Amino acid sequence: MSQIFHRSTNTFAKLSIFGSIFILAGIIAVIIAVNRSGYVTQAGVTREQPVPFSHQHHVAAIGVDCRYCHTTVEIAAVAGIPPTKTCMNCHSQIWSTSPMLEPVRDSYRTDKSLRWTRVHDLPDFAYFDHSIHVNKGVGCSTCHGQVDRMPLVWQHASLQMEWCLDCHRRPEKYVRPRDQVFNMEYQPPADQIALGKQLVKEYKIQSLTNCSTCHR
Amino acid sequence: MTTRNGQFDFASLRAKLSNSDGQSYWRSLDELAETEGFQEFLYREFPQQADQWVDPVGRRRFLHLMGASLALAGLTGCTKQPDEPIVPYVKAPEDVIPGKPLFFASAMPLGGIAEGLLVENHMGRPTKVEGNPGHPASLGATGVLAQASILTLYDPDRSQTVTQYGEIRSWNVFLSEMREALQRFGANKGAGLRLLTETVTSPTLHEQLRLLLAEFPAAKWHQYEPVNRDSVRQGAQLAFGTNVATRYDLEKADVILSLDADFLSAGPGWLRYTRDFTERRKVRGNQHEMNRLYVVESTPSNTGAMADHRLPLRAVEIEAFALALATELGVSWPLPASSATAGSAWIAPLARDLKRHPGASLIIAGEQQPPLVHALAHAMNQALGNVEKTVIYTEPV
Repeated sequence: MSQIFHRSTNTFAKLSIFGSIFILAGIIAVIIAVNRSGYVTQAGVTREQPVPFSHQHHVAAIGVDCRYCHTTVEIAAVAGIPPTKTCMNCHSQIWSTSPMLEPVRDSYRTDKSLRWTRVHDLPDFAYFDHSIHVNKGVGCSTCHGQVDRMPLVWQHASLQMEWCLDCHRRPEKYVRPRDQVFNMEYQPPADQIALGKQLVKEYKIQSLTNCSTCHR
Repeated sequence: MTTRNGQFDFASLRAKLSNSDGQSYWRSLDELAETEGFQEFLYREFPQQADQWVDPVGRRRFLHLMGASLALAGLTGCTKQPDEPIVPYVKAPEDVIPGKPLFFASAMPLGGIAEGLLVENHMGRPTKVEGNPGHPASLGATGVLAQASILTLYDPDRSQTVTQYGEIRSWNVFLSEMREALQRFGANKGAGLRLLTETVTSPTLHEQLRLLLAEFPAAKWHQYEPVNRDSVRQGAQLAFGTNVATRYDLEKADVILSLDADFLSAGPGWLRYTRDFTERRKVRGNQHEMNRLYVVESTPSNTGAMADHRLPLRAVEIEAFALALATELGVSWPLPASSATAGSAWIAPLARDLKRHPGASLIIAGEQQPPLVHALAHAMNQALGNVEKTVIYTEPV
């Protein structure tokens, strides 16, 4: 009876037994990579909106402050999406016939809200409060990236728990002086850790890593 | 062992018990007599022939399906979060911050007496009623009725619109109908026009009603409360010849006598009275003496439970008790006090204690007591020099 397999198959068999550990490790590495990719976290994905509102134009070119529209960012958990009235403050005068702004005018006329798509969507089991972060010296751009360079907003960070904990464990890596919180162009200085440690002390920032801090 | 009509045959039961020896337990006469009804009940309680799930194939299949559906249900968690819309206001209402409550100062009138409230409001929806700390009659406290009043705001039976004969009508229809009806009364100065309200103490509403009555002089305004304070008013009438509003300052009172008055859980200002009363119950700082509370009452009440000395009397006996006490305190009253009143053992020591604290004692009469008791309470407070100290009279509201 002749042999079914060629002699070289032995090598393949040995190799696959030896290599199985690498194959397994490879599969795990791929799973981890996919989980952190923009495909899963939606980071870096531009979302379609009813009106192609450009932060780049309004913030960088015109110089509108964050708080003109996101009025409650310093006092409430949610930063606040502006009512249609806020848009119409200016756009009843300028670009008042632009077809791009028709949904805004329509909303104002018919008293029906615009339906924006949420870009930063935390899971419902995570609690987040804008006001405490802003008041303790966490800048807008630390989490949201340089929104003033986004024609349409995308999510800058992964919003995964390890990303939250990175700052919650060592806040001195990211905090900035309070007067720089709304500065989109702010770049951390070379001695960020030294400055951060000083600010953490001055602003009485606690490193809150208890589960129930966010999962209430 | 039972007779035909279902009665127990006790003779045979006794015979059976005397014949049995050792421990034989029985839990009811039914069981002992072994009645038919009991056997039926026992069968139903422990049905020996009830269906058991003995089909092994069916049970396994069931477990298979359950396991599979559980596993598949877990898989549904492996999806991306669905897109979530943000729907902002078109024109944002003033002062509303999403996620932050807004508090409105309000008041809840009950029998014409208002209780100061703070109502918590989340984006236009009231969620909780609490007392207004800035309101002198509340000081941040509320009663059960105010706490429960939040539910009336969501009462499905509460009318949301104007209705006429059960049909929904617009406000304009109501106005035009009303105008037409009032025009008919214009000719005869409102004869036949009647207004029915609950007790009105609001100055604004009172002024509006006054203007309406000035236009229709022949119209009549009736105020009605099912549980009212008529005898309080008549008592004041009896004592002073005119109506007065009575307030008490319990912080200044060392000895308090309640004549069937549940002033710690009902009535005008009870929230404030409770606060002031308990303030004098605390022994701390340089306050070494507590106040003393005597309660004569016909129904157990919170006030009675707080009393140092409580005397249960029938409601009708309280008038005689008050009269006897007034006589003992030296109040001259046209009616003679009968010596043999219920609770007469109380009269002399109570009068002595009250007299020991002139200007710092207080006698409160219950709203449900007849006018005479109120008049006597006024007279006794006067005799004890409490007026302008623990008892304050103001213009009637």
